[in-house]
Amino acid sequence: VDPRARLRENPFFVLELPPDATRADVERAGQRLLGELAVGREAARYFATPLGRTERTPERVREAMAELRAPVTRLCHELWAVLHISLADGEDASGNQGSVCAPWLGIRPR
Amino acid sequence: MAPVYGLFWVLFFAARFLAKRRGKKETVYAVRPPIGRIALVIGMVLTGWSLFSLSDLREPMPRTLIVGLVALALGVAPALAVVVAVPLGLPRMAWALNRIGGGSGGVFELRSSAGLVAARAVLRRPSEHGARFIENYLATCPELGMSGAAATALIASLRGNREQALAIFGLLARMAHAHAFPPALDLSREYLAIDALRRRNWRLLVELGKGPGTFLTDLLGLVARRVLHTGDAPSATRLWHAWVFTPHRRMTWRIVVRAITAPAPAPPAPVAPSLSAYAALLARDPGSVRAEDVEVAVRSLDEIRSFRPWLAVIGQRRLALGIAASVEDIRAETMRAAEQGIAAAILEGGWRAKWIPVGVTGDAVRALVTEERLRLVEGLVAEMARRARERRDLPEPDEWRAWADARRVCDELRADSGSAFGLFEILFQPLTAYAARLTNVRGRRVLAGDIFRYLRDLAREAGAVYAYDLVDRNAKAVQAYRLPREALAEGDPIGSIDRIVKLRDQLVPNVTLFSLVTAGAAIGSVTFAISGAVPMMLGVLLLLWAMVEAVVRARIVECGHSVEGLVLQTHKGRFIAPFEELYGLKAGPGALVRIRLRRTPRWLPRFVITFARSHEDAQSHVARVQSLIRQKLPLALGTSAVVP
Repeated sequence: VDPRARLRENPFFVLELPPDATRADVERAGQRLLGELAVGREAARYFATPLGRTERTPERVREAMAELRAPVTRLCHELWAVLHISLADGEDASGNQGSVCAPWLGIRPR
Repeated sequence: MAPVYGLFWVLFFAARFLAKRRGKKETVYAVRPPIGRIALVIGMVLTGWSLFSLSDLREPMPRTLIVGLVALALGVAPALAVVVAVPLGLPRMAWALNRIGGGSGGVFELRSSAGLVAARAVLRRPSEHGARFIENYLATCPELGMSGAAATALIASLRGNREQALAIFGLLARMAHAHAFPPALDLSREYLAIDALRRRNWRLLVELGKGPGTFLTDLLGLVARRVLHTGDAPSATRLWHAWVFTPHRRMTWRIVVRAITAPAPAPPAPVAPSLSAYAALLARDPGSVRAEDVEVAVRSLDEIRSFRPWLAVIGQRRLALGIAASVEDIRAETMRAAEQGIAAAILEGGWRAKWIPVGVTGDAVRALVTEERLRLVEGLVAEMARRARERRDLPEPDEWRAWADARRVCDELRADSGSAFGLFEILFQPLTAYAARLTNVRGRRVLAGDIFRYLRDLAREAGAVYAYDLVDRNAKAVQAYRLPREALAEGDPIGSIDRIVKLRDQLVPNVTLFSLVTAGAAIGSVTFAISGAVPMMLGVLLLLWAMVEAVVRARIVECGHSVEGLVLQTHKGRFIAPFEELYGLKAGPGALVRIRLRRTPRWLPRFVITFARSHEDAQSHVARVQSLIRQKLPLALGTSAVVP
């Protein structure tokens, strides 16, 4: 088991999408990145992860899109995509769950 | 004539004394002339004598002075190899100087130590030609020993095989017993320390700095403690004090300056119901991870596990995505993945399992780590035992690597917890069989000795009284400073060890030395003055000794026959001659058994002899071996213990 793979190859990081992205957002971002990689745009070559900058390849982009099409694997990746966000940040002093931010929604309550 | 005669008897007894000291209190039969030490003594005596004569305004004796200086140079040749040939990057010169001086180290390092010096020279001026030269030379050594293993590791490093080099140096650095070869030990520690410095593995540097080491490992250990800001971190004055005594000051200057100005490492992330501590743990250099980092990451997972908002959000997303699995299943799966991630990081970084705190997550991670390490060590030793059982041997460097890998994991397990008994139960049978084969059949006594010593320490720690006697006996039987003089434990012996020992290792050397010294002294004292007698006798002595060594002693072997072939034990090493390599086997005259072989290593003649108890005994052995060859009947082998 590569302990860093779940963070470094998380589809949400690869596609630079928030974890609440819709299916259409995923497809759109994937196609855009594939196009940018095809023309050799420098900004598309790397993406940020909690473990540092990682190289983006067309294969990795296609794999990320495929991973997010399956609901079970998508939920798993959603959970891992927000590893660096503290859930406790959204909890109020009384522990009221209603005010807690959903972590994979980018701290924004829906 | 009397002073001359007396001087040589003094030298004779000095040589014998030095030769005997190699065996300490153990019985050592083979007497090897310590050429370098004899030359050193002669050189010092003659040079001193000449200088004294000159200063006393007596008649100068230039010839004596020249001979004395030459002998002195011969005596310090191994030191010259290190001081001159290694810095110049001349492997052949380093090798030759070491060999001329008689080598260095214990009986198993004398030959291969030349390979180590040459390998160090090759590192200065890397060349594939030099590396091949060393490999070819090491192939002629009966056994690699610590210095040969270090030389192969240096060559592996030269060729870019860093893992092999680190594994073997890691094993050598742990072989710190009373009879270890200090240059190989120091080289291993320095190599590991420099590699750890490159990878910023401060934890390893601290460990290396604790044990006995060199100035460099001590300095780097202090630097690591300063960088980590441990409780016993040294002051700047202490660092500069260590720096002054360490060689390569220009290179270490910057390291010391950086260590002094290094900021304190950031405190670990606070425990919170998030995986940010987990990500921070994985993002750190494995060598700089502290116990607190692991603890915070594990405790954060515990926090998440019981964090109700998290479960609520999982429930929302599960419904939104239309997933049938329950919230509990999803939570458990996520936590399991995180636990596996931490366990994998601990295994990869070689961190201690005892850093993991107690708790739901901590217990699960600890179980994963221990289970994986046990599985790994079981697999490694099972593979070694399988090879021993099926008699599939590897080249010696690969055997060193196999044990290095197994021992590394074993050490991690030992450091983790007090499960020494469980570990001993796993290791005892397979490793004993493996090491017994290494000793009895292949004559790899340095490597086998380390395995037996490890088992003995483990048995003591585990309180395994039922096996302690056996492992202790095995460890004593293969002590690396003794010559391979045990009776053969494999197959049926042909030769009578008592007769061979008396003839080869006592009678022949003693008679040779006695006759040479007496004849030399007598001729020299009559014919020449002291200035003529000394060089003549020294030259004749060494020449004839080499002839007797090559022509007579090398041909007298102990012999046994096993399923693999004829086991030939010389005073240098052990060789298994497969039956198809046997050219002739004849009995007589008397108890003599004559053996002709098609191919042998360079140190073993193709025609060798052994002595049975009687002529009938010799004939019956020969007939039995010949019938074995015809029928190819396998013999049962006992590989559970080494018989001293």
